[in-house]
Amino acid sequence: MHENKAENSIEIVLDNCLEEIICSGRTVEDCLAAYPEHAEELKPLLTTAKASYKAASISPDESFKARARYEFNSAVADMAQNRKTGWFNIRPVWAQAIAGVLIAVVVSGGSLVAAAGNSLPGQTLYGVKLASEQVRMGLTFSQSAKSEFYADLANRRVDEIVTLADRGQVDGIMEAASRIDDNLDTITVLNVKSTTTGSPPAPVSQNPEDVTPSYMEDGQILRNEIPELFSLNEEDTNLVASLRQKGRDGYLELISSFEKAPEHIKPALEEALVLYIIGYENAIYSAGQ
Amino acid sequence: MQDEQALVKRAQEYDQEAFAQIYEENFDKIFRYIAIKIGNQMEAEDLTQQVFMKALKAISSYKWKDVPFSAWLYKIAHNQVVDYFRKKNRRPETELNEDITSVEDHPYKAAEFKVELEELSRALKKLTHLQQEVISLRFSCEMPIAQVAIIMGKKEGAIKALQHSAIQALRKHMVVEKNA
Repeated sequence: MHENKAENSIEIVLDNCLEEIICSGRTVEDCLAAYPEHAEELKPLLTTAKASYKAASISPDESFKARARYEFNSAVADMAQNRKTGWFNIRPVWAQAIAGVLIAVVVSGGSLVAAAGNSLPGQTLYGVKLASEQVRMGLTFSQSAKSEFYADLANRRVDEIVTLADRGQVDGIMEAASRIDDNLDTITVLNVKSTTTGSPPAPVSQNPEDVTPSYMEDGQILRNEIPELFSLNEEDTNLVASLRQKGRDGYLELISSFEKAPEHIKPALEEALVLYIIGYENAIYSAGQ
Repeated sequence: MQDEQALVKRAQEYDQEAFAQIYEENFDKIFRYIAIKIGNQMEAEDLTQQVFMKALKAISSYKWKDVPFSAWLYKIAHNQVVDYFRKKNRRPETELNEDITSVEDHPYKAAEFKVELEELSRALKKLTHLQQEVISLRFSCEMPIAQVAIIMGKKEGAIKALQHSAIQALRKHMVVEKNA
């Protein structure tokens, strides 16, 4: 009991000292003098804390920050402009394409957009396909509906990858994989909560043993088993269950494509698989919080 | 807190001044939070920018919950770090798995290369996840204990205890690093 009290006491004294050192610029010696009864125990702790605080006092490179600030302000200006023009928060670069989609619908009675539905990265109508997806996204309002829509887009890219693999087009596969990464990442950000209350943070480790899941070995995906993250759990919310199901569907498509792909295509498909699994892992974790 | 809520509301309406204020107030802190976790300045810079770009993209879905807005940014940053390590460790061997902290690859950065940061980052990885989080928020972001408690969803007493055990562990590992 006495030991607990002493433990609590040093925790409080340590925090008081850190507050003084971090916020008021006091020295370790000042703090030791203020708490002589704890000086012996405090000294190594405060010395370590001060060294850590000093090491953490790093700043971003000024030239990087200037470029980053410019890019960010430009992105904000784009968003603000889109809002004013009422294009469902769609970037200006999309506005022209979407206008094209609308004209195409009127002129062709929708047949052009339908034809674009089968287009692939690198083809003329692919921009029309992406623009029509943006129009649909603009008409999707709830957070969970948006999340589901982005998952559908990711799986649409999977369909493209399967076709591109059949045709041996590595560049197209990489482009589609990058879009999958972006779509699944957006689901994660959409579902980020403002506090971690009630649950510890997800593991952060640089040790491969800590982060290598059961479905990987020596940096390679074990393709004979479906990752556990795609299995339904009883406590899953509707959104999580739906993401698991969609994730499983696309995963099976990618694996099937991988198995029959020629050797020179496999590295690109492996990269797509990694992005796909990690993207869904993050998205499902975030949606389940 | 009301001022911050108003600021965030303006940001949700894509008010450029509001966004600029949020960016300036938080950029360096988020950068340090990421940098001490990954131990690489240039990658931390890129990840920090991505955090703000993601926040911009998702700001319309943010719901005010009487906790500092920065808590949301730290959560995005935390996810970004988790994602960084996952991708770094899970890519096939033939992919980009090299350590890009190499000074030789970026000689112009050599002068700014922070040995202390690397050592802290290495030691930090040997702590528990909760200890890492307390040290990152407290030291890199100069965050008061009360705010760390809110962000981590724990009581102040628990955070002080974690802080104590974290510094003890840090001391042990930083000493070990020096002797290794």
